[in-house]
Amino acid sequence: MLRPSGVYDVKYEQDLSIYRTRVDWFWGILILAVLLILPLLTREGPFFETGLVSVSVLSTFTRIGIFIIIVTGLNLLMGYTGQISLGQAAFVMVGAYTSQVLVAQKGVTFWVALPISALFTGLVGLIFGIPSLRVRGFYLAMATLAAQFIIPWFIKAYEGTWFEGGFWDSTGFIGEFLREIDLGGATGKSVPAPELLGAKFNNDLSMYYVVLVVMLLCAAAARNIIRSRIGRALISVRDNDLAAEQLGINVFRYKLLAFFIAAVYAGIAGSLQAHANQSISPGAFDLTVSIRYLGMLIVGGVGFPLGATFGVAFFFLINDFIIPNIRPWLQAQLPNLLPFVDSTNIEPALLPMLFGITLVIFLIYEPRGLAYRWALIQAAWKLRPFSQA
Amino acid sequence: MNKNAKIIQWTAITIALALTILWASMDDCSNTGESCGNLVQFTLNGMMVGGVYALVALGIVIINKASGVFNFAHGYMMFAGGMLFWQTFDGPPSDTLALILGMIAGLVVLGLVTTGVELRETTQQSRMQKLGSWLRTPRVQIGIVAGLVTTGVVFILFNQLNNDILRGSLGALIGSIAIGLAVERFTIRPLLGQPLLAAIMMTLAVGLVLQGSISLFWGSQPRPLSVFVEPAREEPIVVPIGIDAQGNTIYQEVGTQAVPPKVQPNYRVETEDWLGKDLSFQRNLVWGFVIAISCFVAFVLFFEFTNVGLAMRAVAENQVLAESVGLRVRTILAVAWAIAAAMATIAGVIQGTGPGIGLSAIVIPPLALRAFPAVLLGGLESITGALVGGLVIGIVETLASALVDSTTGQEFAPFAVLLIVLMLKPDGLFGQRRIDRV
Amino acid sequence: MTKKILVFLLLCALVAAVVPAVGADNTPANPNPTAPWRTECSEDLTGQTIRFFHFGDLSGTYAFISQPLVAGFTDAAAYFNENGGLCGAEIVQEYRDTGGAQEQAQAFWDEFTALDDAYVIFTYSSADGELLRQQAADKQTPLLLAAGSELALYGEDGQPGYIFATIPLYADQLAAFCDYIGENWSTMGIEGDPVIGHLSWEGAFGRSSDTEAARAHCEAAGVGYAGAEYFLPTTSDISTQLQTLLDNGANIIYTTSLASGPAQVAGTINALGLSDQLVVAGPNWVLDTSVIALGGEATAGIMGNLPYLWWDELDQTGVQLVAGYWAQNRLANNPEEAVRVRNIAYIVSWASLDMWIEIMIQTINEVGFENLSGAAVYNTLDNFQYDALDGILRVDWTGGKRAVSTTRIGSIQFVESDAGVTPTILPLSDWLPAPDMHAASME
Repeated sequence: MLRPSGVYDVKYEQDLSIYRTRVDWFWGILILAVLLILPLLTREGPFFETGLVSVSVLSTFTRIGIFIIIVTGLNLLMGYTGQISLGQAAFVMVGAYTSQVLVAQKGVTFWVALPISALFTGLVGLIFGIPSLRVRGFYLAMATLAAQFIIPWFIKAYEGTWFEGGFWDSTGFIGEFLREIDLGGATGKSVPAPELLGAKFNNDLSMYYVVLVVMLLCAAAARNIIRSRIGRALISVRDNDLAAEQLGINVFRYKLLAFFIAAVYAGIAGSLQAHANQSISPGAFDLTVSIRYLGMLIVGGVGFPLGATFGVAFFFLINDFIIPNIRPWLQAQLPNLLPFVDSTNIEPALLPMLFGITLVIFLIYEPRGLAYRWALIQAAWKLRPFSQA
Repeated sequence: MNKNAKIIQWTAITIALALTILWASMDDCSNTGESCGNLVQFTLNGMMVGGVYALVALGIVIINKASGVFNFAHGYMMFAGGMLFWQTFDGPPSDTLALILGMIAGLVVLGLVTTGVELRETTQQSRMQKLGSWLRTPRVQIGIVAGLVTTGVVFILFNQLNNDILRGSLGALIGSIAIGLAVERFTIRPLLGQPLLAAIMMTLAVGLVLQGSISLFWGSQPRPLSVFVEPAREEPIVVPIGIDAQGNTIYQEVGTQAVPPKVQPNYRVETEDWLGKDLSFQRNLVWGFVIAISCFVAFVLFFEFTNVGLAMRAVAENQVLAESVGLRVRTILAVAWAIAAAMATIAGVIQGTGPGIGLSAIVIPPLALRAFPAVLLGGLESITGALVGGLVIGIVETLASALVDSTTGQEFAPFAVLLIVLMLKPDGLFGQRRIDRV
Repeated sequence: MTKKILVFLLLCALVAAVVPAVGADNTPANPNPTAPWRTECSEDLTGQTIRFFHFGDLSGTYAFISQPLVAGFTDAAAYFNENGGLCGAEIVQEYRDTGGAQEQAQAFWDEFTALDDAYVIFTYSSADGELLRQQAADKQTPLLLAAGSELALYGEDGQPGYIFATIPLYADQLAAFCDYIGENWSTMGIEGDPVIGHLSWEGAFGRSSDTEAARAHCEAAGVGYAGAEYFLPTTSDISTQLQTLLDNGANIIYTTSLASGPAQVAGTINALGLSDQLVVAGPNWVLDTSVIALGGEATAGIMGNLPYLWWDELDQTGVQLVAGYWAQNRLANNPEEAVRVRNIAYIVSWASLDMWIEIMIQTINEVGFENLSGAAVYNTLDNFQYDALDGILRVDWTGGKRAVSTTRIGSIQFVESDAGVTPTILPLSDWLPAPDMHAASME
């Protein structure tokens, strides 16, 4: 990590601090301010009604925020602890369904349901993290793959009648609680909008703020986890678990903790997603979605604090900006260049091809991702005119 | 010999177990309310379905054994191979296509024979001189001759025999081997020495690229594979396109290909007196089962008795050591990918030739996901394991579908087996015990 | 924006250049260029552009319908633009592929609803409808589905919302089928009383036919119930599930699946040699050329709902128009591709575009072109009754209904004529009411 000349750490706190210089602070506050003001510039916004910013931009930002939360959790697990998860989407699903059950069926307010569903998802994550006690690397990836199939199956198959009969009757209200849950089977469920003091968060503007605040909290928490004792322990487990054990770090506990944290992040994101869309459906959380999260993390930079943000931003750049702009041109030109290609076939091929090729290129030429590139650029800028890059 | 004994022992145990289950279920099928014939039929159905899983698992295991990469793109390799089969099977014989395929096959052979040929570097050589000395190397000369012979053989086979199944297989195998080699060369080889995550991600990314390419070239509409069908009808297929002034419908011919003929009836085994009903088996699955068994036998022979097989085992055992004793590791990895791609194609075609199934994105690629538990159950590096794992997963799935309900059998049971294996015996039934335990 | 239009025009020019007019030998009677079945325009919008928005799954489960659908919309837009447009305005198609991913559906919904001129949006899968139900109401943008689930159309509280479906709900289709079977069973030559066993795809779509209300309705119509089995589209062998249903006494196998689903069910039954002892049936998607193209002659006799006109009903003006245009512009140009797009989706997309034009005309007549809005379109839809393209689709959303409530029963048949064999779909019944299972379950 390069520091600007003239900035010396004289205290340990300084060495650890996230914002080290005034310039850092300036950029941080500027970005925050822009993010906060953005909705006010829409036509639907409360004050200016300028229409400078389209509502769909806000909605896209909301989705970006939710994705960043998920990928940040994944980054803690994979980038900092070195554990592979192919089942992140299933954990998002657990968060979404838990939140739906609590808010729509049990009358809990969203603000309480959000942390509860996060914790519950964390517990589910622990269950599937248990194989990590015995195996590592590839086998763990397989255990999470099993989660990716078993969790959606469970949610689709769930029936309250499972909890009738002797044992469950004796548990009293627990059995009743479980019996009354309706997960909707193979069809979806609708989710009410969050409410606070009579105000309903049911449009792109208000949900944008909710997601923004939660996302900032999650990002800050991740930063703090990384630079604290836990983070250092996780990194040591990643780099060499035997050495870590020798240092007195309880490897099992920290691996499980990483699993728990990643699942908690997924749970938070799931809850937010359910309420932002105001509906949930079991088909929206399959393996392709999990793979997409992984791909975002790879492109962004595994094990870099900014990796999640870069990766998600890059994906949205491809999906919401590059593809719409090149699509018409390709549809007009490609059939001429390659006579066997039909122009209607171009649309479905674009996203998998572009995303796949991007991934292949990154894996071969820049496996450390965009965040590493960014660090290099920053370093080059700081060392100017003596930079070598 | 010790290892062989172990394999035989385990195979015997598995077969005995399967027979016991079969016998036990026959014995008290009156208790469960199912007829004896049904239970036998379901178990055997499961074995047949397991044959397809075993074919998929074999491909994955071969790659994993040679290069230590678990191939998540296998499903899309099946799909691509199936589409290539459809393309050459459904189309008429064509000289151009035959020539292109022949040339691809020739180049593949040339490439395989000449990989790793190194020239003495002298700085003064021009490019032409380098080419000249490359051409003078005996191995290159052999490669060129072999390549030309392959081209000729493929060209003649493809064109002379007017047999569409042979044509399809030739096209699909050559095309898919080329795909396998390309995937290995351009995506997997640059990753040597990278961490596991990179390899997993790479195969996932290759899957995405293949998915995109398939929809770019062929679109997303399902394609029928009419292999196990009755002879096609002779009459032209026509569609009505309008009405003339007299009120008569105007028809236009759209060719005889537009409608596939009837599926052939299942293979039947007369067991009415013995089990209460005849057993019947889907034709494509029987063939899949037979092919899976033959592939298994072929591989065991190949590994045990050929030099390449020996080299492959050595590479699988220790890549660096194999390289240092002069084995051509890169060639061997390429061969492994080529074989696996061919296996994927066979599995894809077997699945697609089922009654009315055909080839589409929702039918072919997800099958590979469902074969993953089979790979893990058998052990990541075991050919025997792939076969046994595939059969067991097939039987578990079918019996659970029949006895509990189909949702449990299809969506839950295989992955529950996967989880149990991971918890109890992560190296699988036949896997090598070299798992890093922490 | 102008760039997009330019590119579109370029595309059109390209298509026009590539597609030469064909010889007049086979040209059917020239279709009426004006559309007498539509409401007359009160405004002349010549020179304006009105965009038609739709998004759907072009590469996932519904791939077989969406590709012909895009082809159909493209052809229909070209045809209608040549013949008067929308009150003179040019129709421009905006299409996005979701690949079956709900996140993409959400993304395109956001993209479209942020525009000023997306008054009504078309989409196809009921899962997308469920996802967007609440948002459609919040943004006051009606959404037109091909086939909706009860949840998408009426929500959990059973109230009609902003989502409208152009074919009957699957449960309603099953009820109509049972009514038909109850009356005509004796003519089908199968022993015993009719008993339905469901053999459907796993998932929301596959499970949407077999509801409590539909089951009760079928029982009342004299059709028994032998349980439901589900299979994933990638299953290699479904004879195990089939056997379970047969053991429960099923003699009608009702499959809520599409493309390879019905083809696999019919193919398996055929391979088992049970074709003459069983009836295979399903909702409207089983009666399609994509099923015939996969299952071949094993699919002969499959029964299902046919809530629109089919390609062979050439005595109808609308069908003549579509079939004629298809023969001239697609069949003559690329027969292989043309045969592949000749299915449900192509003909229904023509009717849907015609219906959209009618919706827009009625709304413009009501509020004026300048005041178009999603709410205004909703008001039109809420009281909309129309025979699209002279009866290809018969839509009636009056009285709080959100799905179509008339249908026919049809079956796949291979008709022999002097010219050759025609694999086709023929109606077996006249138009029937599709009983409203939503209302029945609310009582």
